[in-house]
Amino acid sequence: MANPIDRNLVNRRPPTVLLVEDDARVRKWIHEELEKLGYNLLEAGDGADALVIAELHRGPIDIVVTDVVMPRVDGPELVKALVALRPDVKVLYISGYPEALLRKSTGPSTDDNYLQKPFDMNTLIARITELLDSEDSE
Amino acid sequence: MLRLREMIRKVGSSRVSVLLQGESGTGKELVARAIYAARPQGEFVPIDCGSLVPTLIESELFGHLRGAFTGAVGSRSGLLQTAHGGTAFFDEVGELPSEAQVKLLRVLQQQEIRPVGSNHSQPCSFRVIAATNRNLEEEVRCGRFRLDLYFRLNVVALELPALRSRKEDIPGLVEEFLRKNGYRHEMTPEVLEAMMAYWWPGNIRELHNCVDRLVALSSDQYLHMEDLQFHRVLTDSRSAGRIEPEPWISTLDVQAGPATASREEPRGSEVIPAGSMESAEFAAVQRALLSADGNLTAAAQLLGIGRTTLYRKLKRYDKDVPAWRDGIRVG
Repeated sequence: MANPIDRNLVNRRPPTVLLVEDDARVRKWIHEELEKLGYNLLEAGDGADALVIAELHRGPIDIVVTDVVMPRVDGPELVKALVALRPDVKVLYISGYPEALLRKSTGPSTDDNYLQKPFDMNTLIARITELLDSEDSE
Repeated sequence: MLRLREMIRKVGSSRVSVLLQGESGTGKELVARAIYAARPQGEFVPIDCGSLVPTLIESELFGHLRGAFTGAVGSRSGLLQTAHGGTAFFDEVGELPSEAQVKLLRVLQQQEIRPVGSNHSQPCSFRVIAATNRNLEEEVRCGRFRLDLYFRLNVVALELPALRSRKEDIPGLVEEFLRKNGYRHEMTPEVLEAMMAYWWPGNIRELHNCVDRLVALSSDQYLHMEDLQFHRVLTDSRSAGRIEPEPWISTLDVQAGPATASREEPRGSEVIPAGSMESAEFAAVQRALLSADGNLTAAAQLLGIGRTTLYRKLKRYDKDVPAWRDGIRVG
C-alpha cells in the first residue's frame, strides 16, 4: 500500500533563493549545492545587482542569503532596501564579519539570521530551511 | 515605452542576466545593445542560436585547436572566448538544440570553457542577455527547454511590446527615424492615418523599412499615400471583411505587387486559402524569395521579418536553402 502523501510536500514549489556574494567561488559552491536540492537560484555579485533583481524579477524570492561586506551596496543596506520591496523575504547573512559589529549596523534582529564563515553546507542548508519554515509562525 | 527605457537603464547598471521577450522586429538586439552600452565592459558578442550548426556548436562557442577535427587547419577562438569579460547576446535562445543547452548551462555553472581539442580549461565569464520570440515557459513545460537553463537566463525579463499595441508611438518613431537618417521629409495626414490603422506585423523593423521606401520613392519633401505599399491590403481586407491571416503574410502580398501578379499565385484577398495557414505562409515565403531573386535578406525585408526568422522558416519546411535558391533560379 502506498504511503499517505504529505500535502505540504506536494503543494510546495521549490523555494527561490537570492544569493548575494562578491566571491565568485563561494557563490558557485552555494549555487551548485542548493540547485542540487531543487532550489531556484538567483545570484548577484553585490547588493546593487541584488536590488535590480529584487525589483525586476517577476517570480517570488523567498530568502536572500547575503554576504555583509560587499562593494557598492553592502549586506545591511541591501536588506534595508529589499524589505521595502519585498516585505516577506527572509534574510540570512553569511559572513566572516563579526556578528557583534553586524548587529550594530542592523539592529537586534540578526540573532537568528547570521551564519559565521567558514561554514559547512549542511549548516547552511539547515539554517535556510529553518528560516523558510518559520514563515507560518510569524 | 518610458517604463522600458527605465528598465534598460536599471539593468544596464548591473551585471544581472536579462531575458528579452518580444515578436520579431520589436528591436530585441537594439535593446540588448542599449543594456550593454549602459555599462560597457569587454565586448558585445551576438550569437544567433537559430543558425548555429549543431555539429559545430562547440567549436563555434568554445573555439578549437589546430587539428582538433578534420578541417581544423588552424586554431580559432570561439564566440564565448571573445565574450569573456563582456556580454554574450544569445539571440533566439529558444532555438538552441538540447545538446547545446546542456553545454551552455555547464559554461554558466563552471564559468570556464575548454576549446575543442584542448586539455585545458580556461576561465570564461560574461554577462548574459538572451532574446526569444517564443514563449520559453511553454517550451519548458513541453520539455523542449531546460528548466535550469531557463532559470539562469530569466533572472530579469523584459517584455518588448508589439508595435500594434503602442500605435500612439508611431508618429514619434517615424519622426525620430527620419531625423536620425538625415531625411527632411514630412508625413501627409493620410499616410499617418494609414500607418496608425495598419497592424505592423513586422513591428519596428517593418516601420523603418516602410519609411525608407517612402523616402526613396518621394520626389518632394512629403511621404505620399500612393507610395505606401500596404494600403491596398488594408482596404481589401476591410471590404472583404475576411479574417486576418498570420499578420505578416499579407504585408508581402502587396509588397510583392504586380511583379508577382503574372505568376501563378493569385493575389489579394483570395490568396490565403481558409484553414491553411501553413501553406499560406509557405506561399508567402516563396513569393518573397521570388521577388527578391533568392536573396534571403531582401526576402526577409519584404516579409517584414528578420533574416534569421526567414531562415528558420525555410528550415522548418525541411528544405535546404541552397537547393531552394537553385530551384528559384531554374524556375
